[in-house]
This record gives sequence, C-alpha cells and structure tokens, in this order.
Amino acid sequence: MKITREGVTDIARAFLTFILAEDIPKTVHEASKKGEWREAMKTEMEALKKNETWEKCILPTGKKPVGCRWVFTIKHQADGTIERYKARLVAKGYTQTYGIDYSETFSPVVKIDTIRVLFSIAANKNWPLHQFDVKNAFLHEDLEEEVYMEAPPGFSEDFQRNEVCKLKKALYGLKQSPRAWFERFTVAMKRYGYKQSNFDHTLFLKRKGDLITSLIIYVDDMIITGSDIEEITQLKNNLFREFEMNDLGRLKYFLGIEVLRSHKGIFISQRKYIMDLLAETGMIDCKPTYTLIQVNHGLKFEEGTNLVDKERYQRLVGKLIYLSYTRPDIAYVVGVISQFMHQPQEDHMEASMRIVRYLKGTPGSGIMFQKHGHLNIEAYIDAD
Amino acid sequence: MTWRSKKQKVVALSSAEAEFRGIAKGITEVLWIKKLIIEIGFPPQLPSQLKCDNKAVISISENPVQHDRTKHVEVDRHFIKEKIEDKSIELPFVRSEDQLANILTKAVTDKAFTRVLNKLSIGDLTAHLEGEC
Repeated sequence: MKITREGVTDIARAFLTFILAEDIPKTVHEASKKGEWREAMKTEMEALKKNETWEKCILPTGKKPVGCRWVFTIKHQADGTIERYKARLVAKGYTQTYGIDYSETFSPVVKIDTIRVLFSIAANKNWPLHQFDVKNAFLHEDLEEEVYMEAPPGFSEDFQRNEVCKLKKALYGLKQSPRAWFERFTVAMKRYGYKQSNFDHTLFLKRKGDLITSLIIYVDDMIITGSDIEEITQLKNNLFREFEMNDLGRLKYFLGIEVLRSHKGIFISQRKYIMDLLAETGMIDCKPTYTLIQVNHGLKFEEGTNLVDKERYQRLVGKLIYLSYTRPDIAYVVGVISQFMHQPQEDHMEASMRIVRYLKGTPGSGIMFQKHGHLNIEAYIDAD
Repeated sequence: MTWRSKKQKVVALSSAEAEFRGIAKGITEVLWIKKLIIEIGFPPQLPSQLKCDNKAVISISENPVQHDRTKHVEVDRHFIKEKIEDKSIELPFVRSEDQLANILTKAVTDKAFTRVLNKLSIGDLTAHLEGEC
C-alpha cells in the first residue's frame, strides 16, 4: 500500500472509515441494545463463573464494596479487520484503600530497549519469533486480601438486595492483579529452568550448551525466540499446560508495533497507530509536511499568552511519545513539545500538529534491524 | 538500536560540561545493552565505540588535567576516564557531518536530516528493499 503525497490512497481511506464506523458503547445501557455486545458480556460472565471468580454473599457490616463497570473494545487485526467484540468486567480499583484491601502493587513492564536488542539479535542470528498471549491472565490468581465487589451492572437481577460478590480470584482493575499474575508467571518460568534477567525482569533465559531460549512478557503478551528449537517447543507445551494460551504464530503485531521479516532483517513500524492518530485528530486529509520543525524554532513559554486545551495536548503528546518507539526521527521534536505539557499554548499545539502532518507524509516509516554479521556496540553521542 | 533524546537536568557552564554529561549517560546506556547481550550469550568481540564530535572533550577525557569545575562534572569525567581505561569503551572522534546523534539534540536542516535517517536504516520498507536489490 503506497501513500501518495497529496492524500491517502483509496484503500487507506476505506480502512479508516472502517475503523471509525464501529462505534463502541460507553455504558451497559448502550451495549445491551446490540446483539454482538450482549453476546460479548455473556461470554465474559460465563468465563468469570467458570473460573469461580467470586461467591455471592451479604455484605458484612463495616465493609465497603469496590465498584465495577464494563469496558467494551473491538479487537482489530493489523490490516484493520475486526477480530472480535470484547466486553470485560473491571473492578474500580481506584476505590480501594492501601492496607485494607490491597498492599503491594509493583509489577515490572518490559523495557522497549530490551525488545529492540532482542530484535537485533534475532535478525542477526536468524532466530524465529513466536507470539503468544494468555487468556484472562489476571483471573487465575487467588486473592489473598478480602475484597467485596458490587453486582455487575446489567446482571444485578441475579443478585438479591444487599448481596455482593466476595472475590476469590483477582479481577482486571484491582490494584494487586498485575503483581499477582506476574509473580505466578515468574514462579512457573523458574520451575521450567529459566533464569530471570538481571537487566530486565520481564526477560527470561535458558541456556543449554550453545543454545539459548528467551521469553519476554508484557502483561499477558509474550514473545519467544532463540536458537533452541526443541526447547521452544517444550516451553510452549509447558505454558499451554499451565495457562490458557493463544498461539498467535509468527510475530506480526506486538504492543501496537507491526513487525515484518525478510532475509534482510526485521522491520518494525507503527503504521496502524499513525493511521488511528490521523483519524482521531481529524488530519486524514491534511497536507503532509516534510520538515518537522524550523531550524531555529525558539519554542518557549510566552508570558501572558492564552493556553490551549491541556488534556487534548497531553493526549496528543503521549501518543507521539509512544510513536517515537519506532521513529527516532521525531524523538527530538517530541522532546521539545513535551516540555510544555503543564502549560501548552497555541505555538506548542501548532508544533505538535506539524509532527502529525509529517507523520501523514511518512506513515510507513520505521526501523530496519539489518544483519551486520556482528553484535558489537556502536554509539553516537552529542549534546547541544 | 536504541536512542534517547533528553533535556538535561543540570545547567551546564560550558558546552564541554554538557557533553560530559551526555557521554556519561551514553556510557551507562551502552553498558546496560552490553551486559544484556552478554547475559543472552553474545559478548561483543570489540570494545563499544561511543562516537563524539567534540575534540576538546575527547582529549580531556583521555588526559584529565585538573580543572576548577563543579563536582558533578568531575564525577562524570572520572567515570568516563575509568571506562576508557578498563577498555569497556572507546571514544573515537567523528566529524560533525557524520554525527548520527545530532538529529536527537537539535533541529537540523532537511539535507542533514535525510542523510542521517538513511544511515540509521530509518525509513519506508520499500526504500530498504529498493536500496538493496
């Protein structure tokens, strides 16, 4: 798919209309009007029941229940077609109190640099990249704390007055859920003989002679790669036995990053993310620009000038920061505009939108991890 | 490949001071990657090279003459010297035109920008394939 200079192609346009046409319900009331969403909620409730996530009980006096709500999402594939409709019941964890219904919450997340290093090694050593995810990862953990939750909206007819859910298993949204899940996963990996990396706790390694197997996990998404084909199969079997897993095959799409592979190396980009950003900011039909910023931009805070919508600015800059994962070309300008997060003005918004217009001109751009035949480190340092 | 473009938290009294800070940060980044790939099982065959376009900074790092400077600069300088002496890194000079990191520190001209992106293998997939076939 080639993007023309003046406007996106028909295919891209169709793709975008497609994404925008699907409206996502915000409340149970809206959702219950449509068959696909009712079905999605039913599926989720059945999964929760099957998993014995809670038992009904009368709320003991002096206890406060945590609220809950439905979150609806449409899962897209990288080409924009709908994979499935998903409804998830989440606890309103922000109503929990430290020391009462939760204690420790820290859980590590993968460093993007680790993923890039792994891609670079995989490209140079011809390692296969496999992708997996865990279904309802959080729901398997036994909850240690005593947590009560209100009846799920839309299903309260199943509950009597005063009746609430006493949670037996962790649920999405609870503060302790990610930690509990990661802990359980780590224990399992160690049992299979894997060592947790000292430099990134979400990386697990196993060495047999010259052969290496590595797994990297981001919450419930994981990549497995390495030179030990036998061990990769073994690990896969172990994980499938222990958790409810999906085999997503060759790595194509991870954390919003598209991955393409050829004999030349591994190419990563965020085209879909850029398309979504263009759609969201109403810039699909904008005129692209090929320069990011003026050489002597002198961007600063002007005393006495009006501020722009702060929330909108922060959301935009947040997305641009995420985009710089595969776009070092915008790293500098994104750094500049993020210095005005707390008090954005007209000029700053203009500079941000210019980045969006630049992206419009180069949506398919990304990084190629080429085979160099060596794994020496070369760095360039500069200060200004 | 990895990169970082960051506003420095300290106020530098000279460009050399800023450069020291940058190099020290760069070294920690490089050493992290190095340790990670060693752990995965691929110790690099050669010392890691950090290319820098400031000759003054390179010579001070290699032959520290005592300067009357603030402490944080001294700390950075000693750290850099130590890493050069134990051969974990090398600090070769690179001409400003070949400084690939300049796109991360300032707004550069179109021509310079495009040249650096090509060198860094950043761009459209089609560009990569066309360039190589």
